[in-house]
Amino acid sequence: MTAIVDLRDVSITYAGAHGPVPAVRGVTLALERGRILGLVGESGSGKSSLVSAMLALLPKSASVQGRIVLDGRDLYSLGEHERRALRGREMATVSQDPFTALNPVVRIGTQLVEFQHALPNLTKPEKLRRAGAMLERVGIADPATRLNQYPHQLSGGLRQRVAIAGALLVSPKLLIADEPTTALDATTEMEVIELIRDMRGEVDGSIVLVTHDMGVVGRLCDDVAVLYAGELVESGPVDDVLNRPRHPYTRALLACDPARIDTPSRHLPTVPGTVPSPTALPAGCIFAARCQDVMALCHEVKPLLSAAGASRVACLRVSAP
Amino acid sequence: MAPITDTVAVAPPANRTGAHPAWVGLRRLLAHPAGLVAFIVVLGLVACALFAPWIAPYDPVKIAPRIRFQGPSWEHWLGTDQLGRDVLSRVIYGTGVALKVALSGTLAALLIGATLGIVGGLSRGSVDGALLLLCDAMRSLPLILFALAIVAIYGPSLATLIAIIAFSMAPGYFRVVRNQVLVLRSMDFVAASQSMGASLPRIALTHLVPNLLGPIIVLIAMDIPAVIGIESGLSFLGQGIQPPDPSWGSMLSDGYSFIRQAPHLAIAAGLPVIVSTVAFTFLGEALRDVLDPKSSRGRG
Amino acid sequence: MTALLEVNDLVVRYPTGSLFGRLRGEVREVTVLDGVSLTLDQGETLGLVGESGSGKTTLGRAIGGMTPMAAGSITLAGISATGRQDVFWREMRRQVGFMFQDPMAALDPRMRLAASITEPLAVNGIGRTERRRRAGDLLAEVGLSPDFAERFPHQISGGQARRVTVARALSLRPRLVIADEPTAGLDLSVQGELLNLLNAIQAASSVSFLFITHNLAVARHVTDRVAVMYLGRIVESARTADIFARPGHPYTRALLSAHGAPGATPRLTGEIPSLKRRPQGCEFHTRCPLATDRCRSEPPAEHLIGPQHQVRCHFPLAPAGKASPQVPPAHPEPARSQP
Repeated sequence: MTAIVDLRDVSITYAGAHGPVPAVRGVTLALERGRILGLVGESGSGKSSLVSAMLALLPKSASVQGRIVLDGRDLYSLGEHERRALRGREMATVSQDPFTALNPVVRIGTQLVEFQHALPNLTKPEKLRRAGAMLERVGIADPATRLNQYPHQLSGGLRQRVAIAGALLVSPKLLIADEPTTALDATTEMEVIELIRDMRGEVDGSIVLVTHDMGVVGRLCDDVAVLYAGELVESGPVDDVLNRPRHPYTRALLACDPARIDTPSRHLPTVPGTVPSPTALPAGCIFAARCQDVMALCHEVKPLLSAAGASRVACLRVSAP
Repeated sequence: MAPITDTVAVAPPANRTGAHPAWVGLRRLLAHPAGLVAFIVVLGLVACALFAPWIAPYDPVKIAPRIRFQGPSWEHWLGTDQLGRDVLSRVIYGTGVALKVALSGTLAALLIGATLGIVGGLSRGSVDGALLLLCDAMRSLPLILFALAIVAIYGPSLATLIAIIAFSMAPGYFRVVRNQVLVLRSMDFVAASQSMGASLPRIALTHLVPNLLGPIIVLIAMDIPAVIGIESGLSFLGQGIQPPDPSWGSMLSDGYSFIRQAPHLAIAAGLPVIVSTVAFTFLGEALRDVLDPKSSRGRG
Repeated sequence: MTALLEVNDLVVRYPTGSLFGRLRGEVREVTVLDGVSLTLDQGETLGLVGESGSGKTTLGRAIGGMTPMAAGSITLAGISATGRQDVFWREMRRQVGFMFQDPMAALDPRMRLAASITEPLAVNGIGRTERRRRAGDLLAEVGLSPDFAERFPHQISGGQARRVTVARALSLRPRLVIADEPTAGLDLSVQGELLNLLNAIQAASSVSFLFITHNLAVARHVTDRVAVMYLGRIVESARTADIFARPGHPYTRALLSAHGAPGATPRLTGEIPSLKRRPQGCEFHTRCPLATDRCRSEPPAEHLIGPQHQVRCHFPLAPAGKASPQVPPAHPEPARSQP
């Protein structure tokens, strides 16, 4: 299979007040055509930085090392102008908050036309027609009326549908959905998950779903990548990672999820300790200080990602048992 | 009760000096490049105002017909005016007049505006509505015409000037304070205080005033140049500070009349207006940065 | 045993409309809570679940005395209020601690944490030295080191801010703590720490919790009973194990399936209606897959379908014989015989 997005040894460093802050370190990851990747991690894991790097939307204070290749082109060897053209045509995003993603004073139709600004050779009426057709495909009844409405006249779930329709209008090679269901109610969340699953054929590339919700990953994704403190600790097919987690952090994280604990219990599992600060990183394994299965070696040797079954895992217990 | 859970690991806190917040704020203001320059200029202006009799080389109202319209020289750094008075001394004494009007006018405006703003914001309902209506009506008055009308009735004097400034600026403070109070009272920490049974005056003192202070100080620093402008404008029209007292506006007006014979008069009177306006504006901008509590993040 | 908290037929209305409307004396109101009743025992945790707009936060705020009630009564530890009775509310506020949904917004950005934590003590006239001592104790109790006392809210993390709000809620040793979405926005590992902390506090002091959440997975673990809210009414309440094993209301079943394993079928159509346009009859009929003509015209009464298990539905699901306690039962066929 061909990779749509290929991250090779990607590191992201921010210029901080007290020196450089290495927020993401050495992430190698390939997103394959037609698959949905779940990018999972807690706060401080670097998942937002990584996503911003894929969209070439990092702030000026950040520098990217390594290569991010989108469909054969190295994103960071392109000029700013070409990168901007790519953002409009080959990448699209669905953001967390459907209430701020749309301009409140512009009609839905106008905004959906504007989303297609990078598409050449289409007249405005054609773009509006495409917008209406896309609204219908994402399950919005009476698209003609909706095109004339303003965002505040739509409910949260409908707005997220409109945002998804807007992202799909350009047939992107990379669609990044950043916590697309977090702001929605449980019953609406399910509809949006099903919609993304149904619409995956519209994306001529791959979808990245950024989330902290393991339930959403299980229901929607093909692959998962687990980030911890700026490093990729485990990646592989959903079934392997969620049901046979190999990295102790993945195991601990899944064990914490109340939805995965069958017997009701007042005492819930936790991951003792805190995430190391990116400016004070340990010498060996990044997770050693909190790990249940830690060995003496873990504090000295940094584990590399190595194949384990269908997954890749960065753990000495797996690579050198 | 005994400690129940594991203690959370703690990173060293960002600000461990324990110094008084005002002192910390001043230090940060002086670390701000524009803030430092503006602060020094403002300090200089205040010094001019306070110590004018000692700083000024001559009596600002002493007429010397023989040395009229002299250009800058070693005896008179900024030259002399149409009556032979020393321009530098008049500019220095004028600083006092300008700051007196600006400070007392703004403070009076603040007192009226902020009090009504807190009352309006806390009471809401019809009291708030009536205050809002009054404030909008006042703001719609053309300022110079209103001022001229007041001067026509009460006669030009320092007190009239301050009153005009207070009444014309108060609605602005009312608006800002009231809106800020409405925002604050919808915040959860105010609701939390209410849920503890705290009284309205207590909430106003512990939560509203500290959170209003920052925006208000910035607003004052930004408004002082405008007030100096009003004073200069009215004096320029002959309706403000009356001769022979020195005022930047009346000096500007004189300079304007003799712009062909003695251009240094207009320049000498205009420069302090510009410098003080820019300095107070920069000070306001710097205070805005410094007083944001979140800006202390990551600083030593 | 008499209940610690008893809420009877509580009604809350919010005024709406513009300034000019109010000046003209127009009164337009939206009924946010419509006849809510519940009880809570000492040391018990009641989960209040529902989607946004269900009124669960308003109910918490009304019990905490932050939202005036239009009708009904609240009784706490034997003292009742039926309106704005100051004596009651003063006593009430001493007995109730409140944790807000957004801990950062609930802390004054210009106040040091020690002052925030002990604000309830200051309101009740406790002196400065005593407050300082208690601040240290309270910080220790929620697992924070003493140097947090001098910090400002922007210097701490979200999880730590939660602990600070727990400390403040406990500062007057209340008998009831109302926790509004106490785990919203927390990472999974931190969420567990906070819930364990609340549990340990309850075990040590037998404080009662009113636990407002939209997260059913969390509610299943930490509550004794659950009340499900929809459009300002409690549509179902039962012991936690019962409600997860045998949900009686179609809405509860839909919520459970939205959280539960894939493949669960009942689909809700549409979204929660606006409070300004409350549906006639049963409020849920616009989205209910089982709605009949009766549902569209006649508001349902509460039925008791099991011990402590109440359902506000014309056609409550009959209690199933044996359902596995962890997996919500599959949705029954829509074709059910009417009683």
